[in-house]
Formats: sequence, structure tokens, C-alpha cells
Amino acid sequence: MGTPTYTLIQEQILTSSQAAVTFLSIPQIYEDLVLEISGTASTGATYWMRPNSDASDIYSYTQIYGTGSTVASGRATSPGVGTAGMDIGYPATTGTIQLVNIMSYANTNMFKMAIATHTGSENYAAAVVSLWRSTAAITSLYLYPSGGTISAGSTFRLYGLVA
Amino acid sequence: MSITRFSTGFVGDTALAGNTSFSASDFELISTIRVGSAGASSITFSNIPQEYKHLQIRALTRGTDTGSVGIGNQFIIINGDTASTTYARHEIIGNGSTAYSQGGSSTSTYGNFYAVGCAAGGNTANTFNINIIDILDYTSSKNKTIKYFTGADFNTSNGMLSLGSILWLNTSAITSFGLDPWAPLFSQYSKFSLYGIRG
Amino acid sequence: MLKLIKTNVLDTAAASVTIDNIPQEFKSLKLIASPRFSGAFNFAELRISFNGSATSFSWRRLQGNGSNVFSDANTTYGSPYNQFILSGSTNAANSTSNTFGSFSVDISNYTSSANKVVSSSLLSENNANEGYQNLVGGLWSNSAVVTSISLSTNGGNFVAGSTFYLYGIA
Repeated sequence: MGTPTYTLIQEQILTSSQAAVTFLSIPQIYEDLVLEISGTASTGATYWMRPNSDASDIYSYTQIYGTGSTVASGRATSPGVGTAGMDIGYPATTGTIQLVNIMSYANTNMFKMAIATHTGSENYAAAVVSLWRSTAAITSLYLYPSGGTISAGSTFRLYGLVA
Repeated sequence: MSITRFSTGFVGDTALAGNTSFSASDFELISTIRVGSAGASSITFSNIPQEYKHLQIRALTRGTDTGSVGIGNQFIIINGDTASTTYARHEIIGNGSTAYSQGGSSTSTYGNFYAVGCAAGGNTANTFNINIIDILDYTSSKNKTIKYFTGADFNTSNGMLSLGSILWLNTSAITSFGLDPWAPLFSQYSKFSLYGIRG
Repeated sequence: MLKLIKTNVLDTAAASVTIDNIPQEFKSLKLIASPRFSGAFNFAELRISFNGSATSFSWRRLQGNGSNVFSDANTTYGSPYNQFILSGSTNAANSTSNTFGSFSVDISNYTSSANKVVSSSLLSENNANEGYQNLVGGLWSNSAVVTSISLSTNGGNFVAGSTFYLYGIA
């Protein structure tokens, strides 16, 4: 028999709108983190994720997305987008899900990478891979939309997978 | 005395007989392979337990081909099958400037048995390609559809991601799963974890 | 925690598949399925709906077919494409034999009184040029808790050997 895993580490359910969500004191005992975000925002925006609240200009991403009529792929490198964070999706006013895999988050021998799908019936069906050019272990996550606020009722669940 | 799970704040019954039993996850770690300083020409999960319904492989891969950039080929080898006519493949790709779909039969350019992707050794240091591979009904007598979600960003123009699948034209249960880079070796810190999902 | 709730393995063909009496104790649901259809096509549509409802569904899709990419939504077509969430195209009778789709759908906060948000992927293989990759975001604009999930198609019946596994995530 294997080792049961996929453990809920922390959950946040917003009772009022917020500008950001933070996960603190992330245990260092897992290999990967899986972040599920579900809910709405006051406006369409980009979800940025800053590991350890790092606002350094060391982020980049590559994405593919369908708008409901067109398909495109884009990227952003730093310096440039740089200080915002890891791109993990696009919240909207009618509801979206972001499923984010943060790989080997405690491994100090590599930069930190996340790959995510983000979908909603209002705006995009999309996927994105992001890079944080730091070898530091991730001990916290700061999540915020590029505009507007995260609506009440939105949920953020952080799971850990052992390896 | 109640049991409190610190990470979730869950408070439940004790584990005494007669109480509701603690329910473990049906997502289980089977095995992890970590590549050491010598590198690895391939990795294989052998003797895969047949007690699960689905498998998931979560991997970070980088090759030792320091003269190359971007995402290189990476072979999957199921049950030791290296025949060139038993794997078909189809995928959608975003490379940062263009989105496209490609694929073909087992005898086409996209067949053979390479797919998924390994970050080349000449990319930005400390970067790896992410591979999340799902195989449903791996013990069934169906042909096997292997789903993959893979990608890497290097802070250059070489990053890409793809969502795709491989068809293994074989009805045998999967008992081993291997990955083999196009590069000479997988580099140190490449990591491969195999999970089983009960059903 | 990922916990198996129900398993359904079709022994005979079925026009649709419904998983009902879903326990309300989890935070999210994950349905994993390996479907194939009997219709005389290469591929046919996999459709998902909740609680027997045929109203208030919307969705947006990214799709590749091995040659081209495109994106559409329920508004692209109108009725009946607002009566379910279209998850994409998967194997039917004229595709490579004994080959089934690989489908996964996440239904978040299924017990809440908010609208229900859904994310799915469907990969469909074929030993030919044509094969499908589908990524879909869906919404059921209904405050009811999800007590049942139904899968259907426009491509005949689900064939024997199609499998469905419902998990709860706690």
C-alpha cells in the first residue's frame, strides 16, 4: 500500500471582499502544493502569486488561452512584468476556477515553478506556466488580483502532496 | 481525548473501536525517484502495483544537453515497449507567440514514442520542465490513453506549455512506466513521483 | 484528502450516466471518466449537467484537434448548448477501436449557495491525424447544492467498458 496524501493544509473562505489572500507558515514537509481557487472578483483581472511576498523583478510566464472565439499564446519576461508575481489565472465576475500546481516548493536546488489551468465561462479557458527565479523555499503565498477585489464567498484551498 | 489535526483544525473522535474510522486519502504516493549528481540515462517505475485504478506521475525534468535550449524530446516507455509503431500522439501547444495543435498516428512524425518534454540543459540555470501525467484505467484491457500537462518558462523566448495525450496501442495492464530523455542524461535534481488513485 | 465516493463501470451500453445521492460532506468534487460512444462518428460530444437541470449552463472552451486550434462558447451556438456544459469531443465508434477518452472535471464548492463553477479537461486519442484536446470552464447559474451529475452525448450511447469515478475532496 502507498502513502495516502493530498492533505488540506489551509483553507480560506472570504466573508467579505478582500484585496488579497495570504497563506502563511506553509509546512515544509510536502513535495508539491496544489492550490484551488474558486469564486468571483469585482472585475476581470490577472491573479498574481508572490511566494514569500517577494516583489522583486524576477517573475516570468508563458500562457495559452481561448477567449471563446480566438486562441493565442503569450509570454512575459523580466525585467518587464517582473515584480507582479507568478501568473496563475484570471478571476472574473461570474466565477472561475484556478488549479495551480506549485512544484517542489521547498527544494532549494531549483527555481520555483507553477503550472495552472484557469477557466471560466465568462472569459477564458487557459493554461499558464510561471517561474519565480529564486531558490528559496516557499513558506508563504501572497495572492492578489491585478485590479479590483476578490469577492466574498471566494474560496482558497491549499493542499500538500508528499513524495 | 479528542484528536485534533493541527493543519486543518479538524477535531474528531478518538481512534477507539466503534468510533467512525479515520478515512485516509485514496490518492497515494507509490514511489519517488530523484536523480543524483551522476545523472540518469532513464528512469523506470517497475513492478507497478495493480491495486489502483489510475496513475499520476509528477515530474520535474532537465537534461544534460548544455548546448541546447528550449524543451527537448522525452520518451515514454510503457512495459518496456520501445517499438516505433505502438504510440500515437496529439497535443495543443502554446510557445509564447503561437498556439497550435499537432498530432498523428503511430506511424506519423508525431508517433513513435517521444512526447511530454524535458528542459534542455542550456536553459536558464535551476529551471526544469513540469510534467503531470495521468493514466486512467491502467490495469484495464483498453488501449491506454496517457494524458499529459507539461510546460516550462525560462524567462527567455523558449518557454512553452502543452496539453496532450499519447495512445499506447496495447491492451495489457501497465506494469512499468519509464522516461528517457533525448538528452544524454537527466540532470541532477530531476525528480519523478508515481501516485496511485483508488477507484 | 481525495476520497472515492462512487464507481460506475458500464457492463452494457447506456444512453446517459447519472451519479446521484452525492454526499454533501466534501468541499469539492472530482469526476474522472473514461468514456466511449456507439455513434457512427470518429468523435462525439461529452456533455455534463447537474440535478437533472437543463437550464442556466454556460461554458467556454479551448480545443485542439491535432491540426487546428479554436475556441468557442455556449453563446457561439445558442440552444441547446446552454442546457449543459460541453466538455469536448471524445471517442465514438469510428475512432480507433478499444480506445476511450480521458476526462476529468472539478466541481468546486458544490454544496454552497453560490453559482457552481466547473473546470474540465478531456483528451481523446486516435491512431490517425485527428485527436482532441479540450479545456473547458463552465458555470451552472443555480444556487442549489449539487446532488447529482449527469453525463450525456449526441453520439449514441456510452459503450460497455466506459468507466466513471466520483471523488470528494476534503
